Amino acid sequence: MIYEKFQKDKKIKMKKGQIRMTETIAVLFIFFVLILFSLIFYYRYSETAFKGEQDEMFAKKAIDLTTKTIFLPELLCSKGESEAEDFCFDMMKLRHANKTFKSHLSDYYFNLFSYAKISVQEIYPKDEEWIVYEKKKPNSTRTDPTFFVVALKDESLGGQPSYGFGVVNIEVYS
Amino acid sequence: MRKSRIGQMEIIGLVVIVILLTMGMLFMAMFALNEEPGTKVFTRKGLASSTMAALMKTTVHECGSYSLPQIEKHLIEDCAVNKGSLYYDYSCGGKNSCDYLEEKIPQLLNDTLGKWNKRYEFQTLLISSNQYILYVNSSRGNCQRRERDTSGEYFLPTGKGLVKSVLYICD
Repeated sequence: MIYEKFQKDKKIKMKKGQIRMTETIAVLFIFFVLILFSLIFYYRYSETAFKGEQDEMFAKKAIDLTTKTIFLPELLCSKGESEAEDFCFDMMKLRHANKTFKSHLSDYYFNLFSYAKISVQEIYPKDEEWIVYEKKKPNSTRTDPTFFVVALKDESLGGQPSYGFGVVNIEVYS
Repeated sequence: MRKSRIGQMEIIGLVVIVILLTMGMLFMAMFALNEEPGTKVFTRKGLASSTMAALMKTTVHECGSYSLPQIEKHLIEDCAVNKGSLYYDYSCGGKNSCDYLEEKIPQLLNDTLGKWNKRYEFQTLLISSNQYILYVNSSRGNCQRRERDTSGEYFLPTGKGLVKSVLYICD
C-alpha cells in the first residue's frame, strides 16, 4: 500500500517535472527565436546602411563631377577678364573639346574625372550631341546619370550671340 | 500564493518582451522616416537653378532673320507690357510673344525635366497686380503641397512694373 502510494507520488512528480521541462524548453525556444529575429534585423539593417552609404558616396562623386564640369574653363562662357557666365557653355570651345580632352586624357583629365562619360546634347534650336569625355571602367556594374541644363552660347553666327538650350549628361561608372 | 507570484513574474516577462518589441519597431520606423535624401535635394536645387538660368538666356530663332530675342530680356518683357493688346513688338512663328512663350516654355521643360520624371512649375507674374503672365506646370501636376526646390527669383523691370519669374522642381 505504502509502496503503491510512493509510486503514485513519484509518477505525479515526474509528470510535473516533465511539464516544467517542456515549459523551460518553450521559453528557451522563444528566447532563441527572438535573438534570431534581432540578428536577422541587425544584418538586414547593416546591409541596407552599407548600401545606402555606397549610394551616397556614388551620388557625391556624381555631384562633384557635375560641379567640376559646370565650372570647367575649357567649356565655360568667358570673355576676356570679365566674370564667366553661369550655366553656360561656349559652343566654339565645345566643338573642339573632345579633341583636347582625348589628347590629354591620361596626363590630366583622367585625374580630374576618373571613370565617367560627359556628353552635351543640344535641345534647341538644333538637335545635336557632343561627347566631351569618355573613359569606360572595365567590368563596371552600374552607371548613375546626373543631368544639368545649360545655355549653349554660339558666337560663330555673326552679329549678336545665340543662346541654345542644352543638357549636360554626366555618367559615373562604379 | 506562490503560484500567483509565478504568474505575476511571467506576466512581467511578457510585458518586457512586448515593450522591447514595440521599442524595436519604433526605432525601425524612426530610421525609415528620418532618411533624408540630402544629395538628391542638392541635385534638384542645382537642376532648378541651371534650368532657369538657361531658359531665361535662350534666344529664339523664329522671330525673323535679323533679331535673336532672348526669352526673359525681350519676349517676357514684350508679353508683360502688351498682354491683352493687339500690338506686340515680337512675332515669332506667326504668334505673339505671349502665345509663343506659352508653347515654347512647356516644350523645352518637357524635353528636359519632364523626360526625367520631374514635376515642375514655372511662373511669371506681374508683381504690382499679382497677375500671372505665364503659368506652366508639368503633365504630372504642379509642386504645390510637395517638397520642392526653387531656382531663385528672376526679376525684370518692365514698362508695366516689376515682373518676377520662378521655377519650382519637385519629385
